[in-house]
Amino acid sequence: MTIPFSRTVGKRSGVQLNRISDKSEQPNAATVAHNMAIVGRFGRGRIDRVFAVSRGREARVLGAPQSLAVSKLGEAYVHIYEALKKGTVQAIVSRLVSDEAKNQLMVASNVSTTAQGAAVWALADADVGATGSFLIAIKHLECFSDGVKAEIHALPAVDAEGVPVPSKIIVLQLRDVVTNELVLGPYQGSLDPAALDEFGQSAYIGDIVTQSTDLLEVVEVADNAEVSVDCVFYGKKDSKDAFASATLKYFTEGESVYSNAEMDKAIDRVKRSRPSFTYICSGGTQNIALISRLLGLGDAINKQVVWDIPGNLTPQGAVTFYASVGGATNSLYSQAYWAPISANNPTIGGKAIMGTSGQQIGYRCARNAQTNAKGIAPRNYPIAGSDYALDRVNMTQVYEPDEETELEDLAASRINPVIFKDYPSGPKYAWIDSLTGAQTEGASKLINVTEMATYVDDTMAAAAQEALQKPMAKAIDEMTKFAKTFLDAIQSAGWLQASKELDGMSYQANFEPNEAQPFEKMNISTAICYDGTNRVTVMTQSIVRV
Amino acid sequence: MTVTINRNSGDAPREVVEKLVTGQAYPFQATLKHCNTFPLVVPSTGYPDVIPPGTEAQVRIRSFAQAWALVTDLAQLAVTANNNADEYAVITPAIDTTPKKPRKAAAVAAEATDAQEGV
Repeated sequence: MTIPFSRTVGKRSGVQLNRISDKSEQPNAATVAHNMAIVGRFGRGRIDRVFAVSRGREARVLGAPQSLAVSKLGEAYVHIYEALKKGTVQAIVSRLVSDEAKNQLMVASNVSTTAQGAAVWALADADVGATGSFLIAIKHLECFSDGVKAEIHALPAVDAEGVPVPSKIIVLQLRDVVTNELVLGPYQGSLDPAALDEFGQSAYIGDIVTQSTDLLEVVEVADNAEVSVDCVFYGKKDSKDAFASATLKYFTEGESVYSNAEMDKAIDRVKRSRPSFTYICSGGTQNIALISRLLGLGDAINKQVVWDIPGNLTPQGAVTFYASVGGATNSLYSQAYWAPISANNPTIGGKAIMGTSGQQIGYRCARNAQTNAKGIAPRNYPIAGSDYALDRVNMTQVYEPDEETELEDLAASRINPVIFKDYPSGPKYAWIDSLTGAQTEGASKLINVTEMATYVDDTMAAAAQEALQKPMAKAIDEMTKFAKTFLDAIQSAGWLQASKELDGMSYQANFEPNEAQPFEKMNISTAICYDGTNRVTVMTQSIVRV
Repeated sequence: MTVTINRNSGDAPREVVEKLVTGQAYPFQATLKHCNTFPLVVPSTGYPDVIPPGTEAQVRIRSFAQAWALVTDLAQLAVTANNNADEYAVITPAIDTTPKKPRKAAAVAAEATDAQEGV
């Protein structure tokens, strides 16, 4: 084949063909809008950083649910379950854990079939490491409080004459102690760090595990480790691979009570979270210190915090509790719900009064997924009113608030009640209001305006990040083009309304170099008039004479 | 024994909590009093009503975890209210298990012995 060009042409005669330059990309309007973050106590989950839970994986990733009769800390599980059921794609979980928590190493040793009472598997302190004659030490980072069934097997090896010889090839796997299903593995590799496979790639068990998962670590392999022919897990037994299996309670959670420092660490893990999320769920916690921290986090990172006021409180108690929490409750990121409703716990049974923040976020995520042709979701519709019903079984309203006094007090305090309403479209337990904590009579007191405004901010900030480190004129040009496309799109989606302050327009956006530092700083300012929510309808009928 | 809670109590709550629950059998009754500017609702008390400042509320402590939550909640409320009082909240168990001074305790025991002998 004749190639009519070169990539570089110097002094010679020829055609230099440069690589194709794709300049059609524009910043994406669709940011992550279907994930939520939550902090809570769970029986499983890594403790060094956040982890994601998706629908149907709750028991595998979080462990068994806990009855609310045993501990209120079990409510976070209900919120994750309901959020995922309603539309949240991933719950980003930061596991509350005390500083006393200890994740021990699982150590496998070469034990002969003739050895009486010797165990293949043992535990070792991670700070000390494996000692004595051992083969391999592994660390499971998912920290199962209920333990795990660790299994090891060595493939048989033979020499040139076909005589069995010690083996360096092992198989590692971990099973669930409850279901006996594989949770990690099988991983097959060599105990020899220099071993290569037929493609010349490392076959060392440490590398095999690292390439496959970040939930298991091979911490140490003994020097010149090999499995002897008489080892209990060497080769086959009864025509099946011989595995040495043991249930190991390798993780000690410590007490399920947490100091401020421990809560701060859990919050910090959320802040450093990858992947991203749109909402923060309180998980029904009644812990004032945790609620305060979640609200502070939402304020700091431009994320809405959907939280619950205990449903067993009276409206007066709810108002006082809300005021007691203080702090960032008065920001637009704070969105509080009070649900005096007893219902069946969907995860483990039993009847309890539970918060609704998880389900509320689930509905919001499902709504956010319904984007139009321009990638815009109907965030101008709050999850409230007759279109959305609280979905639980065996619901009973435990307190009937007075409409003219107590519901007024709740609204004045920016608390959204979740109560029974007999709508013409059908009776239901519904979120009957949609107020943020913003202490204003302006638009930001409405959840739908906050939803739209935070989305616009997030999207514009993401686009601005793309424009960093580009020439100033180019950055301004790119941002101007993006903002016009984006803001026109949200206008056509019905998010905006005309404003007299904007001369009949619904938005204005300016991009210019900073006057004081024009070489390195760009100023972006937007003025946007959002559509509101019909919270109050005033109706008057006049009967007139004939 | 009686414990006092201030804004720093949430940083190292164990000492305060252990002081509160030592010698008590769960569940036990205690009284809670606070000096917040405004009334409080503290869900961890298990007491759903409003607790006005300066008044004693009866709380029932069922577990170490609940006592812990009570101390950390009250400490956080002091932080939120920016209240620097050393005795922001006082929790007094109904049965005082404070160990008595040995000499005084011996004297009391001796008196009791004498009285019994008299009977």
